[in-house]
This record gives sequence, structure tokens and C-alpha cells, in this order.
Amino acid sequence: MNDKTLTVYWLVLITLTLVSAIFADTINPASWVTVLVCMSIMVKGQVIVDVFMGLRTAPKGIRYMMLSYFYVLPPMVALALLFPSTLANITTL
Amino acid sequence: MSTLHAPLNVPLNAEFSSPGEDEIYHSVVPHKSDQPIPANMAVWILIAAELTEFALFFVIYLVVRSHNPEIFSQGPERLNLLAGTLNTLALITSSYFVARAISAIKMNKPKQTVKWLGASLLMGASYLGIKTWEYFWNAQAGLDSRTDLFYTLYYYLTFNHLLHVMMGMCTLAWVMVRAHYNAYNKDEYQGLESAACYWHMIDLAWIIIFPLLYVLR
Repeated sequence: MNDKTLTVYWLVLITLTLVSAIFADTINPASWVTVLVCMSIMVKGQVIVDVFMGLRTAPKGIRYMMLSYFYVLPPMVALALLFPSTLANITTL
Repeated sequence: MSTLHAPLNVPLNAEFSSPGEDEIYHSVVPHKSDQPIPANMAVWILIAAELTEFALFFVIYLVVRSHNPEIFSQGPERLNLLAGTLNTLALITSSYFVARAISAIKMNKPKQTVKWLGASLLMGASYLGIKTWEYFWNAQAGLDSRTDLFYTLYYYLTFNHLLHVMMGMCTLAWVMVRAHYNAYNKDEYQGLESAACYWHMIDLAWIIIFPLLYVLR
């Protein structure tokens, strides 16, 4: 990964962060905002894992372990926020 | 002295269409899956354990939130969004600087590596400064870990992460000193890469904490 590519991905991460902050500050909570923010977490996670950590060419086991974190958690967060009563029902003793 | 890198038993005019072409090719150019593990296995076990710990916190947060929707929808509104955003920018930038440090050592430029690690530590220190300011800001607004369930989890998650940042900074400072004394070069930089991977893990945890606490209401 050359330095120019690293810089481009860094700018992508900065942009995604600022967009999320603007959403939080200006837009009323809505389902599409939740989905969009969770998708941005997935993209940011993938960029850090593949580009900054350099796992794109690493053995598959480690790369998939790291990527699975960002393929599982953000959708889980989105579902929990979109269907809170279902989660509350499931977790009520 | 020949500069050819072909194995001694491979004729220089050999074509890669013979029956053993894969073996011959990969003896010269490593296959993707033959790439060594970055850093070392112990660091990956540590990273997996740390990320699992954070994942459990996230699950607890979501479950508690689902049972207390009123408290958790108001909580983020009272947080200092500017501090959260600045901290995210600081950590992402420090991760970028660490990636540049690794890139520099791969090009056998230890002085550049030290410079990038120093810049990364500066970003880490900025994170600590901003987080301290945020905690004081909360205190002045009358918010603490006993305000309500949201703030209990907010302080637990962010303070736990803060401790990881401090530990990561100590590790980065150690490898920076070693890099300064030329302990690493383009052929041997496993210790540096281990510290870098740990630092990136801290960034990975924060990029979930930030939207979870500050953005998603």
C-alpha cells in the first residue's frame, strides 16, 4: 500500500466521521439515518482492517476474523435500534 | 555476483507451463495465502480478546437501551458531540500516522518511522486532552456516572477505552524509542507491527463507540 493510497483512505475516514457528526447534529432520528450510520461503521472498519492494518494480503483466517466484527456488529446495532421492543421481549426474564 | 532470484535448480529458460509450474512459481513469488501473519500470533489473540470484551459491552448497551428507551434517547443529546467528533478525528489520524510509520520502515527509513510515531503519539495525547475536557464539561453540566443508566454505560465504555488508549500510547512510545536506536529495519519490524496492530484495534473499538453513544439516538 503506497503512501498516496493511505492518504486517500484517511480522507475517506475523516469525511465519513464528519458526515456522521453532521447527521447527529442536524437531522432528526430516523430509520434511514441509523442504517446509513451503521453502513459507515462497516466501511470504516473495512478500511482500517484492510488498508491501515494491511490485512488485505494477510492469511484469510485473521482477515476474516477482523472483518466479521464489522459485518456482524453494525447490522446488530441497526436491528437493535430499529426493533427495540423485540429485543426487550427477547431479553426479558 | 548474480542478482537473479530464481531457485538454483530451476533453469533460467524454464517455461511455467510444465506440470510443476505452481510449485516453481510460488518458490519465487509467494502466494497470497503464504504471506506471513502480520505482527505475531500472540498479538492477534490479545486483539481478539479485547474486541470480544468491547463487543460484550456493546451488546449490554443495546439490551439495556431496549429496556430504557426514554433515558437512552435523551442521553446522547446532552453529550458533547464536538468532543466526540474531535476524538474520532484524532484517533483516525493517529492510526493513519502509524500506518505511515510501518510504510516508512518497509522502505528502510527508521528516521521517518520515528517521526510518524511521534506524530501518532501527539494525536493520542490530543485524545487524552479532549477526553479530559469532555469529562470536566460533563461535570459542570451536572452529569456523572450516577446520573442515569445511559451515563453509567457511557462512563464505563469511554473510561475503559481511555485506559486502552493510555496502554497503546505506552506501547507506541516504547517502539518509537527502539526505532530511534535502529532496532527495526525493512527485514525486521515485528515488534513495531505488533504495537501498530494494537493501536489500530483501539481505533476500531472507538469507531463503534462514537456512533453508538454520540450519533445514534
